[in-house]
Amino acid sequence: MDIQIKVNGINHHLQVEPSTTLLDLLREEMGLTGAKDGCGEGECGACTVLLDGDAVNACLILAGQADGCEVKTIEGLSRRGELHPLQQAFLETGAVQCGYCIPGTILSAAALLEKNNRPTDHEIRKALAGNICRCTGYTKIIEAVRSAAEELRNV
Amino acid sequence: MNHLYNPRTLPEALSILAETQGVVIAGGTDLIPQSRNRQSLPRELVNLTKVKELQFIREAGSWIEIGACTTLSRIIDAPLLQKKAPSLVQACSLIGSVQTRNRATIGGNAANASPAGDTLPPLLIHDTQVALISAAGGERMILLTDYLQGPGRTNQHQGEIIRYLRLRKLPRGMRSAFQRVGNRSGMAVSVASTAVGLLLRGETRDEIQELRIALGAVAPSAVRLPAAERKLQGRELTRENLERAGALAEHHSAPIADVRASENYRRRITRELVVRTLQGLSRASDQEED
Repeated sequence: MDIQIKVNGINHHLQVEPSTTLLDLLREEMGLTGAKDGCGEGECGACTVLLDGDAVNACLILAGQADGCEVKTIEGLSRRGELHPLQQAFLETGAVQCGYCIPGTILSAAALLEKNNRPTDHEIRKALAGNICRCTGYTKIIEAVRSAAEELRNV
Repeated sequence: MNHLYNPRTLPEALSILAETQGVVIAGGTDLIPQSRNRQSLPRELVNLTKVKELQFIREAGSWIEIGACTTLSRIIDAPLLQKKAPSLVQACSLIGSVQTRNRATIGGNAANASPAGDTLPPLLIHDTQVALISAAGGERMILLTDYLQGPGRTNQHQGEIIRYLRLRKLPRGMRSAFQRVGNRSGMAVSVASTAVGLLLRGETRDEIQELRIALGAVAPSAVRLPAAERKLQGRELTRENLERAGALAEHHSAPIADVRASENYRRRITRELVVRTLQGLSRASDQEED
């Protein structure tokens, strides 16, 4: 089927199989491998991308359902080589260990900060509840989001 | 899978559904995991996410109507529902994660008919009706209690979709809440859940004028407990009577044992959940009456 989809600001017209997921499309067709296939059933959040501004699990969306939509992946977060404050904060705080959960986690955090630039720790935890991390125990991740929120408020 | 259709309007969706004898998909948060890595996706899928006329929240006199494809996120953010259906808002906010809630729909939660579907107990205490529509048969309205027929089974016919859910506003002054227990506090299927409505009588508010109780995850479908409700109507608001409500709820539950919890645990936690939810409601400060 034919679809039209905007990914990281660029319009694409594509032919996709009906059973292709958005995750497959991004990774296999477009080479955007930041989003990961962690579980394939919407439980781990490693495939989190922003669809029309909302954090979603790309593994649960058929590519055809994203026709006419705008998608942002982790690759689209930095601007002209400059890291987004969230990416910078994650690096500086030590919130990244193996890195597998990070693209999804950062995008969930980005969606949160877009709606709420002064989140409490509870609100950060709730926003990231769908992103599982096996390495860090989440402490540094929460700290990184807090730090990025402050940075964004001061900009 | 052969085709995915993206209708823009309801008549278009119904007509494609009739022609192809296909299956609908909205949020996909149940359908896709259930299709075992997309091995067993239906041949013909009709995507409803672009049909705007299925996404709405509106007040209609003593009713509130919610379009079947309204997402849980949108329900949580709706001031009308926060005020008039707080148990539904509480339930939605406990389902899955942000990512799930941005796609999952209230119609999908009903149509999936999981015994543990969290929107169902709140919908039941609102005497919810399901508006079904098809290309061939027109529209019909059916009580949610009749729509739900067992685990994964509903009264829906081939070619029908849910158009909207129709909730009755609670009696003036009735407070309501939803609580549940899961194996984790987030991203967990409920092991037992309850939605409760409590209306207290008089100046002193120490008598139960009306009580509503619905249970989830402890029977083949979510259930309302009219017998228990009747037994407590008109009774004094005492600790003893709240315990009695819990005991009645336990008595009327019919849980099974599964990977998440034993039958015995579910029974006992149901009792506790109902008592605590009622205690919370009886202590709550006065809510704004409309």
